[in-house]
Amino acid sequence: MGWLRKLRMRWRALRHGEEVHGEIAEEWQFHIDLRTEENIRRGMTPEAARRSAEQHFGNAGYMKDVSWDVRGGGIFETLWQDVRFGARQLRRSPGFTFVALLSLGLGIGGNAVIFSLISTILLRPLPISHPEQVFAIHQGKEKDASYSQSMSYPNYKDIRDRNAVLSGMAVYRFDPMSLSHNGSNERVWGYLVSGNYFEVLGVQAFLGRTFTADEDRTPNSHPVAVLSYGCWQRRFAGEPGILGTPMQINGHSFTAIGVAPPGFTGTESVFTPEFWVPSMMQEWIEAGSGLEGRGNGQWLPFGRLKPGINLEQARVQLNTVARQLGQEYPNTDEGMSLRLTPPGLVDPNLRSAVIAFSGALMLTVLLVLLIACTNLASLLLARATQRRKEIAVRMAIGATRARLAWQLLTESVMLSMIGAALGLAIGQALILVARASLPRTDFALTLDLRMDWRVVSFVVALAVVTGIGFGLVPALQASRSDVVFALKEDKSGGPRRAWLRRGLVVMQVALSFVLLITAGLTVRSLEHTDALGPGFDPNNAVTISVDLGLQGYDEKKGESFYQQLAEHVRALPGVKSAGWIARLPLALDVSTTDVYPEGQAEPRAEEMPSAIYESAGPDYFPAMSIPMVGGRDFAASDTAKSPGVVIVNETLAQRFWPGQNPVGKRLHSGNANVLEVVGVAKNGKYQSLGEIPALVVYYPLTQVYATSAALVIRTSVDPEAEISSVRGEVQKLDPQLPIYDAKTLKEHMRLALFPLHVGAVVAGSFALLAMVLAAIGVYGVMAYSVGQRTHEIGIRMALGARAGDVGKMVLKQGVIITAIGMVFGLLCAIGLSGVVASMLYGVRATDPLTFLFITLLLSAVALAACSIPAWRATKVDPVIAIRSL
Amino acid sequence: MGKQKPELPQGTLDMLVLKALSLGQMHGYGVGQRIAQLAEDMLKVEEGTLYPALYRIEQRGWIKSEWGVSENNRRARYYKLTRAGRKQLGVEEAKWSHLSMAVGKVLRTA
Repeated sequence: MGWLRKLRMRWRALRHGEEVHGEIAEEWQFHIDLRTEENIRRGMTPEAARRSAEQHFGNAGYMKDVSWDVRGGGIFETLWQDVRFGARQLRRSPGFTFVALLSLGLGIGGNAVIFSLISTILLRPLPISHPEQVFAIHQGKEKDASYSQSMSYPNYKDIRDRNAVLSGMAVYRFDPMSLSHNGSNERVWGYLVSGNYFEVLGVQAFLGRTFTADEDRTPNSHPVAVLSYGCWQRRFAGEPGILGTPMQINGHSFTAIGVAPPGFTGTESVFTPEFWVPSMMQEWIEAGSGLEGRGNGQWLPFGRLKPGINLEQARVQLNTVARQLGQEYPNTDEGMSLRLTPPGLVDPNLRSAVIAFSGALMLTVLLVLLIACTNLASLLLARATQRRKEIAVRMAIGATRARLAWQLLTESVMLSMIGAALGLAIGQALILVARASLPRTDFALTLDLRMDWRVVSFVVALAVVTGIGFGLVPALQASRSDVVFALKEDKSGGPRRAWLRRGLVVMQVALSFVLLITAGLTVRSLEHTDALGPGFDPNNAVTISVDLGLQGYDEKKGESFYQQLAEHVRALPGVKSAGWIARLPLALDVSTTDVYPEGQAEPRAEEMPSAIYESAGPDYFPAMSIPMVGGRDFAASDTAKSPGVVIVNETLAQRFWPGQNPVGKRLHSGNANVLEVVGVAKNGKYQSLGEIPALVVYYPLTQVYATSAALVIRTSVDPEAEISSVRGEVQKLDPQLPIYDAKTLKEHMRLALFPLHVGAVVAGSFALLAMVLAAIGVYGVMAYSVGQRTHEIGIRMALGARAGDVGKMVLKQGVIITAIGMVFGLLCAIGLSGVVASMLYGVRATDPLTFLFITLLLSAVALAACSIPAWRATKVDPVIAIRSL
Repeated sequence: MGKQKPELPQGTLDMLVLKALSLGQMHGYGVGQRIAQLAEDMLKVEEGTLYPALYRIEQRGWIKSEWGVSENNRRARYYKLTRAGRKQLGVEEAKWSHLSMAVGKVLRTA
């Protein structure tokens, strides 16, 4: 009731301001007239009477402000007024506005990009109905902390049917598949999914339909597929007629029955499939069935909570089912424990790594924004000082301090809002660049960075906070002006304000020093690719991959293909060596197996050493330039019929046989017989560059067959040419066989180096940005100081100081500020070296060369920033300077 | 003028305005005059400050205003106590007499 009347009043004041003002004026005039008449009646002269009446009335200007606040538009009107006034002020000083907006725009733009990365990977829910009800189900052992989203098909069916808390539970699995279309074969990624997959997610087909329960009941009976929208557009030109027509997957005919909606790209945030097929079709898609075997945890389960069931209730009930299964099937399910997590990234471990990585990025860009805002605050402070006279006049005619501070604050928030808009635009541009620079992988890796509402609200919040945070101090400072003091042509803001500005610049220099050091170290560690210790030489080598399983090769046919292709390729000009490996090191995944040395009792499950295993052909080690430390390479004589042999890496050799010659020793590995160690390969990195040394066993490809493998070719000719001649050789052997992932080893390394690359690019560009911002800061404070000291400089010159002396004086001041900032920065950088060291390879966090270079660089930039004001100081004309005193 | 006259304690002006208007509707000038009369010229009220107070009180719904014609035939804004205003005046009066009694007691005993 009360607020309604108030709102109406304010609305009227806003719409009909003149009228309300007029009413107030009329009322007051009436008052003064009556008082004047009264005074005349008491015997005053008319003039004296009016003057006395006005005096009695008090400070009309002040009263008007207060009255207007109460009666009139209040904050609405004030705000509108201030916005218009602020816009005029900003237009009047384009230089200031440009620098402030550019600083803010760049700072906020960086934040927008990094936040959109976080939003995409960690925050944005899957485009499904009620995503908050859907959870990935992770399985682990009660006593073990490692959980992963995996489950066997029999366990899936039991848990799906026995639980009382999920309205639906589905599984999926992504697999490479060979798609034949328009006469060409291509290896693409698709999902095998349970028949209820789309139903549980609540995803409707964009075109046609999704799977029915019947289509996923019996193995190999329903060859149907749902295409992703992207696949339909790219491969089938968005042709609706594709529905119902057969397409060739792995040489089998599948019928396309539907197209998924445009936004839906599966149940992972970064891996996107081309199509989905029913899980019962697994045998047609990959060799061996994952539909049987309770211990065969190769499916990724998720479920939707029933309405009214909370996460904890669901977890407890699912674990009750898990315990039942543990009792019924102790061999495989004993101690099984289930957890629910938001769906998205496959691996919870990967998730925490991503959080840490993006957290570090976020911190960096916030630091840059802090530097940008420091510039803003410094500029606002300087401007407030210049506007002291204006402010003093407004205070003298009755403006309240709060009113002035409010107005200055409006200006700074306005600046930051425009900065935010600019930042969003810059961010969008950066996102386009980032999208284009994703590494080439065989995976369907999509990072769909977007400026969604989360990013926009984050940026707006950031802008408001920075606008208020960095505008408040200058606003309060300015509104504290002593009226008399300010009106008396005193321009210097007093020593306090000058120190505040210098302090800000010192902080900027310090922060940008730290960022530059970090960036310098990251770049240096990229220079040392060999120091990264991949264990192989990525230069002058190419690789191609084939998947024989997809073409239905059996082991015998496959082995002869591997052998023939290697021989043919070795005969090509320029090829020094060529060898097969089942999985290239530093791809995304590895397989592990249990190993222990012969002569030891079999260790218990918890203590069983686990080694990465590989299947390698002869000549693989020379092709990768992995030196053998002892023993021999695999040879043609190692066949399926000859005794089982392995090559191990140094770490394994030292762990199992410390101080002894490992060659000739034997070990137990997996289910295989006892194998003899015939060679020791030098250590390398297998999964990621940052991993701790791993145990590795290599089996001969002839003894442990792999359905897909990569051929590594060390060459002395142009890599692209070499790849195309290798392609030719494959074509000769099997024209139907798709080749995938043809690339140089250097390109292959890009994936492993991607975090470091991103780190270097981000750190480098943000550090440069920070440096530019700091230089602007130094320039600003010096230019301002020279402006303030024009009189003093004039007097000095009149008294005989030479231009050089004056220039030196100004430079000295700038150098001192910069030097203090760099000392602070140096201390911070050394303090942070422990944190930074974990992200570096082959460089120490206190690398003297980097520190020296950055110190020189920053000094040079700061000196350049000071030299313009210094030069201007030398041009001061003493006559003019003194006359204006 | 009137250097010895005490200034009004914060917040009491509203009460005085309500009191003045309890005697009947009046324009701003009249309200000032009435307060001066009632206080027998012992209080110093800067006349201009009356108006922000009037607007504030009106916002709170304790008084209403409308344009009328004054004794000397000019357009003037008249203020009138509302029912809520009358109630508020009672509350304020009780509060004030309580306060002044208490303060008086302290001063007498000390």
